[in-house]
Amino acid sequence: MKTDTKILGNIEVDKDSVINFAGGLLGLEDYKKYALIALPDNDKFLCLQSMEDAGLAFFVINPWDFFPDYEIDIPDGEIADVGIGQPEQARVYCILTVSGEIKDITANLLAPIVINCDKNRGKQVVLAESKYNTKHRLFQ
Amino acid sequence: MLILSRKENEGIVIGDGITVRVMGIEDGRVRLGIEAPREVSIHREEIFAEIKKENMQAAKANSEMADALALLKKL
Repeated sequence: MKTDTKILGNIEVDKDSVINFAGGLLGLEDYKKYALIALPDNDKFLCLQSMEDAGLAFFVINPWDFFPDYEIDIPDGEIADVGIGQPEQARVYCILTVSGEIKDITANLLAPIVINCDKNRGKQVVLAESKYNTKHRLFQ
Repeated sequence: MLILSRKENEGIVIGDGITVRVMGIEDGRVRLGIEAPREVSIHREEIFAEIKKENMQAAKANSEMADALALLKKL
C-alpha cells in the first residue's frame, strides 16, 4: 500500500510488514503501528515510520553495527507480549537522536526496540539496572 | 491517589502477587523492597521520564538528516 512518510515521501509499504506495538513507544503510547523502512543506498540506517501519523518517524540502527560489545538481558516477562520463543525471531534496533552535526548523533541503548519478525510485534524495552543510557555517541 | 502511611518493615499488597515493603528509612531516603511476578516490569520513574524525553527528541528526524546519513553509508 502507498503510504506517506516523513522522510521518504509517498512510498509503497507492504502491509504485511507493518509492526504492531501494542503499547506504543514510551511517551507516544497512542501510535501503535510502524513500518521499518530501509533508507535508500544505505545499509546501516533505517527509518521507523508511524503508519498512523506521517509526521512521526525515527532513525534506527542495528546496535551491533556500531556497538559490537552491546549486551542486552531482557527479562522474559518484558517481551511476553511480543511472543519471542526463539532468539532467531528477535530483531533489535536502537533509536537515534540526530541533532545538528553528524558527530552529535546518539543512540538510545537503554531502551532498545525488540521486534518479533515472525509475528510483526514490537516493544520498546527498558533495560533495568543496565550500564547504558539514552545518549551514546555513534562516532567517538 | 490513594495515600497510605507505612512504617519500616510494613508493606502494602497490590492486586495479586505484588508486595511493596518499606525496608528502611534513612536521611530522607526510603528503601523499598518489591516482590512481583516476573512479567511485571518495575522501573524507577525518572528512567521512564528520560526515555520519553529522548523519544520526543528522536522523533525530530527529518529528510535532511536522511541525506546526511546517506553520506555515511560507507562506514
